[in-house]
Amino acid sequence: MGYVAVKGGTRAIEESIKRLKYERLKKGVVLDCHRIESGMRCLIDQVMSESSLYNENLAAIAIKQAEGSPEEAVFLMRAYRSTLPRRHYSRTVEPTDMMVERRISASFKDIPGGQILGAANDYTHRLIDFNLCEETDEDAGNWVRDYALENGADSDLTDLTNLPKVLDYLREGGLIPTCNNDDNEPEDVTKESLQFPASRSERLQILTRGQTGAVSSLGYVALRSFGALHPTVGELRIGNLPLFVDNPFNEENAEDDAYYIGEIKVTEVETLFPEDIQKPNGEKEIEFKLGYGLCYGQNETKAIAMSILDRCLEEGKPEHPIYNEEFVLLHIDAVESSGFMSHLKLPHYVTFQSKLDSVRSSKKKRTKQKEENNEKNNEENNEE
Amino acid sequence: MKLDLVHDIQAAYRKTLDSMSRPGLINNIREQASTIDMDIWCFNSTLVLTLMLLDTEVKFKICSEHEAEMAKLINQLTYAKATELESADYILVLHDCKPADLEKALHMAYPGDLLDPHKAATLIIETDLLSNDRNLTLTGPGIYKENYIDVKLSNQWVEIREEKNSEYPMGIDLIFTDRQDNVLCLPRTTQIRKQVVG
Repeated sequence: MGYVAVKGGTRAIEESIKRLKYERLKKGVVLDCHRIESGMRCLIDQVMSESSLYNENLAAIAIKQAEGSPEEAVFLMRAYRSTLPRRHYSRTVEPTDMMVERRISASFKDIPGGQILGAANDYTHRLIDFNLCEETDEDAGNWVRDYALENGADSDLTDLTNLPKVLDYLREGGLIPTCNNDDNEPEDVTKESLQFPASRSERLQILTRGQTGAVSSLGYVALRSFGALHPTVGELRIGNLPLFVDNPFNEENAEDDAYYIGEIKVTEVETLFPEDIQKPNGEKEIEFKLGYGLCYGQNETKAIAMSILDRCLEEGKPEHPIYNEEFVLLHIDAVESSGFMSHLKLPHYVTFQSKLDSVRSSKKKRTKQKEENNEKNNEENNEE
Repeated sequence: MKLDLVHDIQAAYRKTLDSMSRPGLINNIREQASTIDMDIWCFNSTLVLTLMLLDTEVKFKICSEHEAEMAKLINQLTYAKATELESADYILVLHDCKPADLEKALHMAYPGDLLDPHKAATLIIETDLLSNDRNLTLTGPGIYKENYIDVKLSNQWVEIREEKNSEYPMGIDLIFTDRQDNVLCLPRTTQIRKQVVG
């Protein structure tokens, strides 16, 4: 016996899918995937980051198909990702090898290597530029050419692939404790379902693929109230990281046996949290604790929020939900949350019918009781 | 024609899955297997199963006279790594292997543990001929009343398998292939009874 309550409706569903296509096409203009790729950099970065799949072309197609809805585009990308064979694991990526495009520190003005503003919305006036209505490909070409000429005359010789980390500078000064590499094989949340207590590798993976809005909101919660932290961004850097894979046919691979397979753009954030430490002799001392955030593409707010949540989960104070890993990690995934919301639209005819039945029967009981009481009262009144 | 790594493997997968859910049901994957044009030491159907099931995440062991050559080939095709019997996720027992080696493979195969019974080994065993002749009687999940099979192998394997699978949910799953590219599956839940000649 099947689930009879939801049988049928096939034609209606087919027509609904057609209607969806009609909505995408009805204005008679289609989006070119290359245009999405070149003009919607931030949306593509967000979708790639939330779907844990780094591919700009695929993200552009997903955005087109989803008509620009990030949650739907992420859903499409995750579904596609699940069909891909797993062929290789990359070698450990070192963020110090990053080809830096933007790098700022809120802790020091003069960091070794200098602040590099790169591309960011932070310094704009946030006024809508109505000239963009009329912008043509030709204008774009001309602007880019002029920009290149302008830069050619004024080139800087900073080595962008080898910039020192701001935190290393602090470590050298003995201001933050040095930490050792944890070379344990990381757990993979896409292969094994999460179990609590989660390891740090699992926490970071879930945070980095978390829904941008959800991660930012929860980071904001930790910042504003509930254990009010005020971290300082030690370093925020955006740039490309080279990826290498080992030769899969070798048992052991030497240092130079790896193949270069391309690069990924990431945002990396290291935040510093000042903390009072009580010394055994009763004196108080301030120590800095670290939070770490890293995600695909240029997603600065998300990466900073991730670093705050990383710190909170590492600490795990029981009095605030934001320090509770079950509260944070189980609720920030884009597909999980939108999927659970969407399931509410599925037929619940049977469960709802049974709820209705119990409401009806309890109401009936109550009216019957009322009637009986009224009758009794009437009789008593009559007797009087 | 060349084997299509997406569509042919998918078609063969559906058939294997069908055989796995209905133990005793013999499906044929010749259509897919015949597209392989390589000189190999196993049946084409076994290679199709290998390409379907193995990837860089799993480890395998070959029981064959041509173990080294086959292991190298499978590593190159799937990136899976060869290992020993006890730690293999997939054990391939090829037709040129001696009955004692099959018994050893059944004995040594990893049956999973109570927390993770799904991590148990799967054996892919090559036989000369698979049929539904009434030699062995199958009962269990996925079987309506009874199914019958005949596997041309030395008969000792039935007892060893039974002993290996005695502590459900731990146990090993078997997939058989033959020269006609038939596929037959015996998941750990299937009970086997030998027909007694009266």
